Amino acid sequence: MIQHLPALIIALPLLTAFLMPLIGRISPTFRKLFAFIMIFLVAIIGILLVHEVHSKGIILYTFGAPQPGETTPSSLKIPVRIIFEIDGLGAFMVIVSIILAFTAMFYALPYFKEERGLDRFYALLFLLLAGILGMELTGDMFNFFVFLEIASISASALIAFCIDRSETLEAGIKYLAISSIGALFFLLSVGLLYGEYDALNMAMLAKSISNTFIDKMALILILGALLMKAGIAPMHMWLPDAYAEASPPVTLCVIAATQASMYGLLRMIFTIFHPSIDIAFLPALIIALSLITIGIGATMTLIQNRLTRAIAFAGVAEMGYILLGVGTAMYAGIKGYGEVALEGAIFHVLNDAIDMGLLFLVAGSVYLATRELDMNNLGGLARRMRFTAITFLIALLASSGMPPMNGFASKLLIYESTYALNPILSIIAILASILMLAIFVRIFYSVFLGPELPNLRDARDPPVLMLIPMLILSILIIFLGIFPSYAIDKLVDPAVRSLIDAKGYVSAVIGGG
Amino acid sequence: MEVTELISLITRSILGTIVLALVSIILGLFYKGVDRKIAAHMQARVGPPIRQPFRDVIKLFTKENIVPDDAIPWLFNLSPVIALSASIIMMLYLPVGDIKPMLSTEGDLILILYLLLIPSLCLVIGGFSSGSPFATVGAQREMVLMMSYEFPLAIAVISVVWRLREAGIDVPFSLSSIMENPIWNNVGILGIIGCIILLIALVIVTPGELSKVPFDAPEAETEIAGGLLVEYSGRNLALFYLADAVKTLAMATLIIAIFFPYNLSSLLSISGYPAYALDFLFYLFKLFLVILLSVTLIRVAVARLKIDQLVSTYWISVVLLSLIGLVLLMFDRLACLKGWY
Amino acid sequence: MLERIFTGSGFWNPLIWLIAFVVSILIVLILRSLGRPGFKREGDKTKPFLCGNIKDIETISPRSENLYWGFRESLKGYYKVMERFHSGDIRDYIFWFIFVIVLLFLMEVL
Repeated sequence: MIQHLPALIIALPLLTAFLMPLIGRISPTFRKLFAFIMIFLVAIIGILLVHEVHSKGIILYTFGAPQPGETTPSSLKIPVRIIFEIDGLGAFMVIVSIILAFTAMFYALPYFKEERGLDRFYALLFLLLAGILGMELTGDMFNFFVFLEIASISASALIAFCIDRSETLEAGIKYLAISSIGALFFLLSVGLLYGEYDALNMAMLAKSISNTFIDKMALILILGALLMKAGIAPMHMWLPDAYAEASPPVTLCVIAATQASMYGLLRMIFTIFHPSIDIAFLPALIIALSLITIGIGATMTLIQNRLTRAIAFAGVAEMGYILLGVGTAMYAGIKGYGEVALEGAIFHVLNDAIDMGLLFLVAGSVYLATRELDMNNLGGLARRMRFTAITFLIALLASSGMPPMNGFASKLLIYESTYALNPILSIIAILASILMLAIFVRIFYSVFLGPELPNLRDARDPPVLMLIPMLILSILIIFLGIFPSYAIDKLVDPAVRSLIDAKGYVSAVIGGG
Repeated sequence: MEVTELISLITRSILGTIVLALVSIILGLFYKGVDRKIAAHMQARVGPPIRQPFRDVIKLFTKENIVPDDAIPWLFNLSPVIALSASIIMMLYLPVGDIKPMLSTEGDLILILYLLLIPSLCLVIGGFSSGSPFATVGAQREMVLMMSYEFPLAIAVISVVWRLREAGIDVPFSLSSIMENPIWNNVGILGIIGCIILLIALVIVTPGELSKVPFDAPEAETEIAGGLLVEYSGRNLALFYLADAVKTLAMATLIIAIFFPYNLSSLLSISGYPAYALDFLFYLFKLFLVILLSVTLIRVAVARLKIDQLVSTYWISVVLLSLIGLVLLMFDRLACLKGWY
Repeated sequence: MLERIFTGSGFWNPLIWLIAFVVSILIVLILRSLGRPGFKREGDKTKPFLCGNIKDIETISPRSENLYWGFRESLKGYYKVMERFHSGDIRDYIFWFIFVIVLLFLMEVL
């Protein structure tokens, strides 16, 4: 059974998604129970998989072969089947996605008490999870495209789920259009590479790619598509619309999809294209884009009046931080301060996911209690929703990077590596951090402090089942903040080492480099 | 980490905190008194005696601690406590005289930058949770002030650290390395001019950091009736007062640690305990000079700025000044590489 | 697990910081207990300090859009330009995407 874990982790959500309408006919409670059991099983399988990767090294799984570990069975010369290749970085992303998906599902169960069409909702949520996990595990370019499409289409339908506001539908359609165009450019690039090398497998391509014009074009197209999906300026504008209009459990899963696109970026740059292709201006351009993203994200939040939209722009700035670390590592190579930058960026993926997740869950609790998301009409909720206010305070401190929360540890790594490249990078990062603090304090005041408004007198803390996922994320934040070296040694270091060791990725599949 | 090292660290952090709490509160209040006395003489009056801040604190402790009806009690009472605690903790990571910071291997300059934010953040949250519109306006002004002065502060600090790294110093963010390798020894003439400019920028940032004139729009007594402290009284107000005093001490110590880490004992070749005593006295003298220049003189000489003038002062003028300092440091590194000195 | 983070240029040890912070909070709480704890509720002591005859404090409290006025006022020009960019029109979003790809292409070719 252990052998088949990579297949199970994709098969189980797919099976759940397709069975959900049938199960839903029995009773709503049974549907919720089924969803919860399935997400729990997926989480356990994910943890087992990560444990396997950390103890045994790169895990391979060939779909359709007699033995899953054989990449070239029945005397084929090159790997032609779909191969899942899971290394340290893939394992790390699986953990991030599972944390987000588990908390989202846990939160969604009591959140949608009276909605209709819930079996479609849960089915789409599991499809989205399957897409995200597939993106992070696969070792085949076209397979990556397929899972990217699965994730995008499910996400756009989920964003548009609550159709009582027209902005939700608009956001869903925008997300669909943007993702489809990005994915099509990605497909074009995969087609270019296939036409040149007759291979779709990532390891094969990594071995064969050279410094030709077509390969550079392919890299440019892939970068453009993945940068847009990761929400990097100036193509970030879909992100506030999508995050703001979706319901909070959906936003958590869309955050997981964005992080999966960032993973795709890391995989393409460091494992497949990097050792062979040499585009001189690329690291500098990526660093410039990341600075613009940080700047736009941090400053645009100040003029937003809608709670979820303000948090979403802060999310844009956080993606900029991650890209800053990645760009520095590209520029300097993954050694010395470049390695520290990459560590900071990857650790920040985890921290950003948890912090943003907690912020959106709090926003969901506020919406559930008051049916109101405009900050001008909210106020004084800390008197009645004390638990929510405390969790928001923890998320506030973590997002701005205040000690001792987890945000400080990853931002410390980023500051103390990017300054070596150019002090301006570190300065802008520190400045954005204080702007984020200002942003969240403003949101904290508008929603929780201030005088008590007469129409919000019966706001209460959300029910216990919704408080538990918020509690889980808060405990994770505090744990990662007080023991960051534990997380770095156990989770981030294997990921960074697997990116340094690009040859290992290739030789695992082809054998002998 | 070995057990002995761990135990030594834990004892240092517990005992050190207790000792430093007492020392920094006493020193902070003392320098506050000195500041008021000198300001009074500059304004041609006699002024209160130097031990007046001690009397003020004791008097505040005997007053009633009123919590307004509209306030959020747990936040209202928690903010002063966290503010003073964070100010005290800062001193643990800063060098005093020739003595390395108590916890020199456990926190560096970035930690100090963030710890400097915590007392102001607690002031802001305390003001926001006071339930009074005056307090809200004052608190958001304080937040705007924080957003503004952080830019030149970050430029000054990161430029110095970067230049130290380029000069080959190991672990440049750690305050013990900065203390042992003064920036003036490691740069050429261009760098010295750049560092002087950065020092001027830091001196302009300090009154903003401590909410003193001309940057004290958040506590504008004449405009918004006391600003964010309007609803505070009694022991809560005393704790904020103490936090302000200790933060002045910490900020001045930071400037001394980065720009003036020299000591008399090495000059006069004394060692052992007399050297520690001499260095401590010299440190007190340096503190006096820094606080005089950055707080007292500026406070008495100029008027208060409006909030948007304040933002444009920091974001445009002071940032340009510090960027010039950074550029000079970069040219200095280029000159060192090419061997023009 | 109890190690400090060493980033090559600096350190951070959250555990020791936490111990020192807890000790510091205890000291401050002890100091605080030297003060006078409660207060007698008489008169209008606990009402907020306002001027004029105000019945509902909600009407005069600053709203969220009024906060940080000073900052937004100083950066007015920048915000006007930025708001125009975030128009919500999907054709603009696609424009920026194509713009970046063309930019990458041109920088590569030239």
